[in-house]
Amino acid sequence: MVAIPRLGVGIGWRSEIDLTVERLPQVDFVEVVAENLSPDRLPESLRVLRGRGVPVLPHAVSLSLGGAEPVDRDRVAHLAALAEALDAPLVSDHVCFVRAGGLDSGHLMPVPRTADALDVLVANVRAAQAELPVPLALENVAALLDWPDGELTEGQFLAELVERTDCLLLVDVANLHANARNINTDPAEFLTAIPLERLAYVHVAGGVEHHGVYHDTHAHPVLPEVLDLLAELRRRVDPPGVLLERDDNYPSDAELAAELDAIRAVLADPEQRR
Amino acid sequence: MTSSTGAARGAGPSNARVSNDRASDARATEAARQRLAAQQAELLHALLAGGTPPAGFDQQRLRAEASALLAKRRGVVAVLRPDLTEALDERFRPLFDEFAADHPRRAGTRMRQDAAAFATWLVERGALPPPRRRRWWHPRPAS
Repeated sequence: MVAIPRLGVGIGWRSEIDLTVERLPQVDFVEVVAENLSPDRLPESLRVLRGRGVPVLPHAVSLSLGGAEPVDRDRVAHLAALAEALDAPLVSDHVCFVRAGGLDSGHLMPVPRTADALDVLVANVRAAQAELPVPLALENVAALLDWPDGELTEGQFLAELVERTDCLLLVDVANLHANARNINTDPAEFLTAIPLERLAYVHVAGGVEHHGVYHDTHAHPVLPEVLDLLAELRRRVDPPGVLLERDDNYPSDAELAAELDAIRAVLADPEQRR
Repeated sequence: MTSSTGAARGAGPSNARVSNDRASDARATEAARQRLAAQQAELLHALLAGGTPPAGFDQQRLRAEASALLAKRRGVVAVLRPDLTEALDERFRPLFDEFAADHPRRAGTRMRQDAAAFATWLVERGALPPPRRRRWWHPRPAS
């Protein structure tokens, strides 16, 4: 079993905020969306960050590991090449499917929590792991709907996945909040069920509530409820890393710095959020 | 712990037995893939292509998901083609939603192709004039 690296507190690198990410104080690591980059044409900003020794972690959104079809080896090869080019300690994608029946949803769809879906997910994850040069971490998604006839809770489902594939976990606390609001899941049960010793890092992101539905937009400020969940997680484990995701409607550098400070404050003293 | 099966263990079952178990595992996974494929296809067709809503789902949640997926696709096209949002203004949203209802995005289609297909559809239905031919295509006038 490979040791999980200490990552610290970081932010999602996006080309729109490349200079901001370079300027922000104390960015310990960054994450890039794998599908947006080419391993042989890396942006200068990422070279600058790598030059400073900042880890850059490729985060994929299109492997569709929870999909019924066998994993697309070209997509895995791209992720592998990116990990090599960036000398990344690990890579990640989601527990989800994006394609089925000839259609592309354009989004990370939840999988049914059944034995069938778990068997297929495990087979796909093992196939991806066999082609990747570094450990693979898998993230819980935000769902607007829940499949009927789930045999396991989401936490139990992920625990089984880790048991059978030895993958790492990427826990998104904003997605936990989204699922609690939208499909009545219990974040505390989730955090109890998953093997926290396999936690690679944590995502924190902003969102907004419209007509009783929480939307995980990555384009709004981080809600206090999401920081409360980060505190809940921190009381159980010292996460190797925590990363802020912001994908649109970018605020000032000062606002992003303040959100990173708020994350650091929760990690230093989770009791402040009781 | 490794990601391989128990076959690597020295005190494990005989090679023939392992091979049979693996074949049986592979068949079981293939059957699971087929059942899962049907479930996932039914859901996406309901959400994206006006298919019959699958049994057992909360209908309100299905509508919320369909609406969120449509909004995300519309938003991406708006970012990729600001010329279309500018030309259509308030007509952009209803026209895109009409286009999307009849043209779910096929797997393997990139978002740029999706946006281009919308532009073509707009011209075909007369919502936008055909794009003007660019001047550099014209041969130099004879002097």
